[in-house]
Amino acid sequence: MTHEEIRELLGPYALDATDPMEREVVATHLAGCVHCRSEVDQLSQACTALVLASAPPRHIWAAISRETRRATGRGQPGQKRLNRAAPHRSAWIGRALAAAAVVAIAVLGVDIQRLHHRLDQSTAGQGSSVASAAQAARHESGARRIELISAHPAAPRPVAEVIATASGPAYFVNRSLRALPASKTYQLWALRRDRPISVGLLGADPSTVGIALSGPDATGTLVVTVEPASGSVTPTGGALAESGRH
Amino acid sequence: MNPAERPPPVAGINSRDLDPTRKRRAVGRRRTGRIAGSTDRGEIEVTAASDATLVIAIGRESGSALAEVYRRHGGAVYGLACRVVGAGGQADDVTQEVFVGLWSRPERYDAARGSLRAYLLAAAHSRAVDLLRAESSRGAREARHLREQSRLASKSSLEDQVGDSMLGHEIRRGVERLPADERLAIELAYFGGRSYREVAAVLAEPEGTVKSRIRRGLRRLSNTLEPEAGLSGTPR
Repeated sequence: MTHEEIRELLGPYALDATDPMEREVVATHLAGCVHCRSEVDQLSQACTALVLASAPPRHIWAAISRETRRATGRGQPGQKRLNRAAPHRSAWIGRALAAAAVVAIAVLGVDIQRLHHRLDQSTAGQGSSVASAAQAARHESGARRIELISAHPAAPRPVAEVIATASGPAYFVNRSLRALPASKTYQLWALRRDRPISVGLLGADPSTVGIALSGPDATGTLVVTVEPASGSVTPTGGALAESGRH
Repeated sequence: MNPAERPPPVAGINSRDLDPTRKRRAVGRRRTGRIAGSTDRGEIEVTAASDATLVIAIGRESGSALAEVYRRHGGAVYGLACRVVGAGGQADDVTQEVFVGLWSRPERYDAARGSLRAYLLAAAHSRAVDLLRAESSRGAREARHLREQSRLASKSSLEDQVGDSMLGHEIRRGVERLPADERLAIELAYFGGRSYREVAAVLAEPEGTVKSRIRRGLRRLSNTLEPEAGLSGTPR
């Protein structure tokens, strides 16, 4: 198909109005043509003018709420998510899983939002008090120390650690991660059902940082990546360090 | 450590410096596990947050962020689903799948490429058309055609919908000002779930004509939304 023929299909494509084969051809073309992709995006955007909204139906929200609760593992195991293919999973997750033998954990249902909020309030902000709180946490009964090992193949050494207390608060303690430029940050992730969930932003030059770590996440795999300063929804950087590596 | 002693700011591991007792510069600024602009503090901030911020919060499994996205866009998604597959169980399913899909894969939304509403509507439309095409029951097809006829018969097919504060007056006029042939082709394709070939058959027009009417009409609508950044009225 010529480029012109593909361009003629962009309108129908934006309306899901092509044949299946044409759709494949256009989709493949869009992956490599910024100009056409930009046009399709604008045509898709134009479709918002075709649909006016009314109030969202409540009965559907109840179903959405139920299903997303199930997907995060509260209550029954999130079988749906486990079975779903994850085509965009980056390579390092597979490696981390192979290395760390992540166990499917029954979620305790800890509310991450509340944990974050509580930490916001309790963390005084003075570096020294966070550091001393972390120090004290090390000796708390039931506290766990999770080493984060460098992903560098030649030098698998601990570069940081996480202290996870049984009572709730947790701490990221940097040992040798270097300062990043201000446009970047370190970000900590927990692998939950082989999907990375952000535990928090550690900052460009972390020493000791209070973090919110739910029970199951503390026993799963933790990973550190480098992200843009405002953080990312899903890791864009490669794994810098992981727990459970040997 | 004074600035002169600091190692050069190269990201990564400093293999020469693994001494855990080495003194580190105290962290002056509070660092919490909070993404800038995140909305996990409660209702008020969720309502004021941008769509992109809400999607980030959804990525951190914020149920209140998902609820707010549903409040903003659930009506549009449901409305589109109803217009394509008819009100009922299937429209409910389409709506549910779109929002559960956003919860499961929030990273698929790219704010640089378009609005969240456009993204959700595209997901809804795609799913709805799949359901339509899988539909084999003749009764359902006939019901659909009846629905469509009554919709097209009304002066403006948008008249029966409630106004939305998100779409300005100009946009509404934009749709109504489309040349009739472009608007009809778009409506038959978009809401009828038809391929352009099927639209051509219905209208007894050449397929090329239908394709270009659809593209022209959408480009015109696009200009209504963004007159400066949009596409020119005539395709190049």
